[in-house]
Amino acid sequence: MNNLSDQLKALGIEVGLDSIKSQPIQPDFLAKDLGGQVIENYSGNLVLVENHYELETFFPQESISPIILKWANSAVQELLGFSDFTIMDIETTGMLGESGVLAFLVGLGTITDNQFTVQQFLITNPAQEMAQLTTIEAQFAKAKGIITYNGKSFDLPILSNRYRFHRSPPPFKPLIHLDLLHLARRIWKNRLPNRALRNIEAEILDVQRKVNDIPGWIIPQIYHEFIQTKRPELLLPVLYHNQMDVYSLARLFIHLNQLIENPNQSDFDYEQDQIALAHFYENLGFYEQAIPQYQKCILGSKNLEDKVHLMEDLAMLYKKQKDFSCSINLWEQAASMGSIISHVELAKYYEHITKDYSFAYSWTESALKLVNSKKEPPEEHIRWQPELQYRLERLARIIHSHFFVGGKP
Amino acid sequence: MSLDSLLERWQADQSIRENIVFWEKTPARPAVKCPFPAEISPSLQHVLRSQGIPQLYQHQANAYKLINNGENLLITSGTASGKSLCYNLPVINDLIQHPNNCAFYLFPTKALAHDQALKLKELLHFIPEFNRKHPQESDALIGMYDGDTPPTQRQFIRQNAQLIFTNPDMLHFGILPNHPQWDRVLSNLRFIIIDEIHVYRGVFGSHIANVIRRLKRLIEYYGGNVNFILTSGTISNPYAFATKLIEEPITLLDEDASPKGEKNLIFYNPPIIQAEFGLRAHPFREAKKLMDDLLKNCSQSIVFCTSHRSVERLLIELRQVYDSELEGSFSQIQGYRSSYLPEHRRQIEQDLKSNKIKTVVATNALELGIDIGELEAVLLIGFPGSIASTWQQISRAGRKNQTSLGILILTSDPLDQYLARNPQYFLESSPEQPLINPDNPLILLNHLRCAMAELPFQEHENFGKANQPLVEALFTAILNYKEAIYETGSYYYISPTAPQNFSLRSSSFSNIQLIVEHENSLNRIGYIDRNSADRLVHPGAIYLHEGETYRVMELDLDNNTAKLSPTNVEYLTNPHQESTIDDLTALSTRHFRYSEGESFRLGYGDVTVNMQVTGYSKVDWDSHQVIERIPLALPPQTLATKAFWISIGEQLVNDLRSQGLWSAEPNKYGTGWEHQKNLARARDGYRCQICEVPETDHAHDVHHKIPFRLFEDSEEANRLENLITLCRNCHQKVESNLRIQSGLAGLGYALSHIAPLFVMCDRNDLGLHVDPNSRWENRLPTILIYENIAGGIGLSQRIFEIALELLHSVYHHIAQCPCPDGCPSCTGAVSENGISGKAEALILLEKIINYEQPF
Repeated sequence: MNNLSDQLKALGIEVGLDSIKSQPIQPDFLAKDLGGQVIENYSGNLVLVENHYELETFFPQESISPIILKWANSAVQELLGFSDFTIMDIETTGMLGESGVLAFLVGLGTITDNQFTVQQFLITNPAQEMAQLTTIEAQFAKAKGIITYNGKSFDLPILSNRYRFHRSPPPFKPLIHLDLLHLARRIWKNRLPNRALRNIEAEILDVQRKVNDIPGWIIPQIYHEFIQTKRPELLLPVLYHNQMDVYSLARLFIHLNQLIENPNQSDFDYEQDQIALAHFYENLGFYEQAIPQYQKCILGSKNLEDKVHLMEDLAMLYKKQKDFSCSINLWEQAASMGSIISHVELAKYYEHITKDYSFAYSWTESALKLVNSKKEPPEEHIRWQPELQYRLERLARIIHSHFFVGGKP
Repeated sequence: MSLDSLLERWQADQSIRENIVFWEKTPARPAVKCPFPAEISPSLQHVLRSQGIPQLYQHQANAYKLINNGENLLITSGTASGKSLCYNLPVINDLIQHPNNCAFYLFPTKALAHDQALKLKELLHFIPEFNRKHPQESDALIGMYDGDTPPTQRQFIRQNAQLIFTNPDMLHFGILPNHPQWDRVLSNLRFIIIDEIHVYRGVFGSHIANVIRRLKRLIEYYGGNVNFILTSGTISNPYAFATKLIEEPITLLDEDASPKGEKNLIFYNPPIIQAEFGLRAHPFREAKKLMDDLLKNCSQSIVFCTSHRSVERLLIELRQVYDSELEGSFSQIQGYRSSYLPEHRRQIEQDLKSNKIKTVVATNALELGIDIGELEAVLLIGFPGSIASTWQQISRAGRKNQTSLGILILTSDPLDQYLARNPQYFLESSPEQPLINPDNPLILLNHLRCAMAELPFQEHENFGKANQPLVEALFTAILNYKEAIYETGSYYYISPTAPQNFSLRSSSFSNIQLIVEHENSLNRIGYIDRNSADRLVHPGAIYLHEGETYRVMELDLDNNTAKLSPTNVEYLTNPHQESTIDDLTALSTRHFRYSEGESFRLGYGDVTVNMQVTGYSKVDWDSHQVIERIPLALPPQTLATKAFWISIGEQLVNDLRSQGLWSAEPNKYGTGWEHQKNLARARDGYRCQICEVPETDHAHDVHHKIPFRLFEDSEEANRLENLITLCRNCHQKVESNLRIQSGLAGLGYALSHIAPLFVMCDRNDLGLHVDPNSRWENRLPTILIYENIAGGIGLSQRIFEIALELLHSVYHHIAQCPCPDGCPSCTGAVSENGISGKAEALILLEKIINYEQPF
């Protein structure tokens, strides 16, 4: 047992033959079978697959919604067009956090005039990676922004790692990053339990994929098999899958722009989406859009509880703007519909703003009655009861002291 | 009474003095101090002065100078010698001058890393250069990066921290695989501090050496330029070990200029209470006696026990005696085990430091470096398995100005008794050396995968100092497994499975997970090698993990899990293992001459062992007597590993045989045995002649009063007068061992029990195969000691290298054992099959030692 390979075999390690090293294959040959071409730069070569789509049917706007840009924390003041953004989706050999995970396929989408172009940069072996990264970097040099789906936690960290791996700074820093997953969560959090791109495109966008489109999780295994066998047909479904992701993402982006800029369009008529939009506007400080959106939702709301909450929210928005007459109006309406917060807000208003203590007292008293009358849910009761009791006693003391110094009871 | 007067009393008290087999006093010694080296920044000098450090100890200054000269440094000064300042000083000073520089601090445990990070943090608060913008700004410099670090903090640490406190597991699983995220740290890395390197021995150390190879490879890629600063506890030849671990030239700094009070080291051997069987008083009983004195006369102490059971029992007994004399409900005697909650343990450490607690009874969970202040006395019940670990525990006692005491109470284990007779071994020229084999093919293969995933390998690229033909063969294997491809001169790892998912504490392909069911939830407490599973976690086995006792409920080899359940049973288990040697190839041999022929030969090489665990015995915890034997049906398994062997030359065997000193053959009790046996039972009324218990469902044993082997003829041996009926229990008490006995087996027993001390490994790391008629060595009687670790980690090679020294030691150990005819402490206990072979083993050894001229 003196032979090294035999010794290893005894330990259970099969060395195999040295001839196992593969012969390089001709990239031209592969590219042709994949419907692409070989492109070259100073770092080497890789495969580019390009597809074009006509967009006229669903492309009405000139520029990107400023509300979306604000949401993305962008400080850019100028108007940005759709052609300023590049849409990106990558396919990898594994999960983030595993070493040596490659983004073997990077799909980039660009909107120019009425055309949508998907360019897929594919490496057929890991030695081509630098050429791929160089090419992508050049593409992004022209762009002002990047659009992804979950790119904040997946696509960008992985690609950034690859750049750093090659001791080159990642090119994404100057770009405005719109991660549409997070936007989709904001808008559809109540309506769609599953915010995977696949689900969004089916529910919202009416994008149809081939029935045999592969699931994403299988892609690392397919690439692994491809790299062993170099059979190009294995990659065709991966290219299709990635293309569809990029295409869907473009459609989603256009859809979100329209929804956010023009929520009154009839095909957006989902109550939950409309409510989410009202909150969205308010959170971003777009009160001009938020107030009419709230009003529209209150009018249209069929559910009493929703309606009360919307009134409470809008009243608070008015309060923030010191528009108390509008607030009081809403609070009184909501209070009559059983809103405890509205009672409390009214009590606060009379106590602190107008110093009308007996009004404050009676709003507090009726709030306490309301809290004591409905013991459900118990946490409401626990939360409000002591606070109201305390407020009531304080008000009683104030009124009492005023009375005895001859003040107005 | 003070400790000094207590020691005087012990010295005078014959009942104690006679059990002390070794007592060494190291006199007190003042510190050697020197001023700060001029290169240390004035502001840092100022901070140290204001912290009560007006000067450095000589060795701290020397460490600073050596590191400043760009040397890698290994520091071996003892505990409480200001070791952490030795490495913190150059790091901080460097950071003041180069504000972007970074360092990795590797500690073997999270607790140790936390402890050290906290101390450094406090020091950094005072350094103005690090706190320019606001106080405690320096906190951001230190990143505590381990499995407990919340994900929300990890990114901040990766992007901002410069002194990364972590452990080798985290480096392996968390940092190296994500190295692009650590590019700032790796590009600016200046120091790697590895604390307590002696922990990284055996399989674990072989993995760590490869993790270091991977780290160095990435540092080179990112263009960093590092110095290593290592510290080690007491081991022999730390220089050789450290060099093997980091594969860099290194300078050894072994001076210690810190002040020390008088130290007393005592070995206490419990008295023999039954001469015939060499039975000694239970160490536990002796410990209680000594603790009683210590509790009354000494300020603070620790007792180290080897199991949680002893901890709990001693705790109860000490509290009964001592706490009743105290006011209040808080006990000044506390236990300390790994199963205590971390907060509870931190509290005990704190209370020890602040003097609220007088005594802690602990398992080795307390062993590693956690700061608990300086204690007056430490008592060890039983040798903890290695000299390094004994020092680690004993060094817990030691104070700058006053007398301190370390006591080791020995058990009847061969290693303990070996130390009882060779205490000087403990102090001088200990050959105990941690061994690692970073080139163990199974371990190396795993790390080559990781390294390849981290950074593609160029064709013919070296991996540290790994054997290049082996590395290339393993590259081919990785290609063969379709986990990598070879493209334009490089190997790329492309497998969709992450390569890091293996244990750093095992070498085999598969591991068994140890699962404990706890209040309806399953908790994984660790892994063991598939190879060791049959022996250690067979169904019914009692398994000790970090001092806790578990019983194995189920071993599921299909799913690689063993289900364990906490237990308080009063016994341990010993597996019965049968082994055959399927293949043996010598890598090296040495032959020795005896008159005209060969006396013996030593060998070292590759072995394939076929092993099967066929059953186990339950052994009483206290008396070490066998309670019950239980058969098991486990499948045989094959282990490819390395072995050391000694074969006895034909000439020597013939010589011994002609003198009637050779009896390797098993006993055949002769044709009339069954008949004689029944006659004896009938004569004794089918009752045990010791405990008088009658036979029930099975027959009692019949025992030869004078061992069968001593008779020329079986009829003579089987005379009724020489026979006695004994129940199984009593029989086993009389003959407490079942190993095959002969000079050969006796020698094998002693050799395999003493060897772990010389090669610093666990008892379970070595297996023994004794064959009077080995087909691999020309039918010669052969003792083979193999490594229970697939591929081996160098233990057998080391035994081969020091074999003669080891055989000498074993000879003296057996010769000095006071037992008449072999006992568990030397050649194994007297057995049913004859005598223990003590006499034969001694004669055999004598010949070997006297005829050791090379052939």
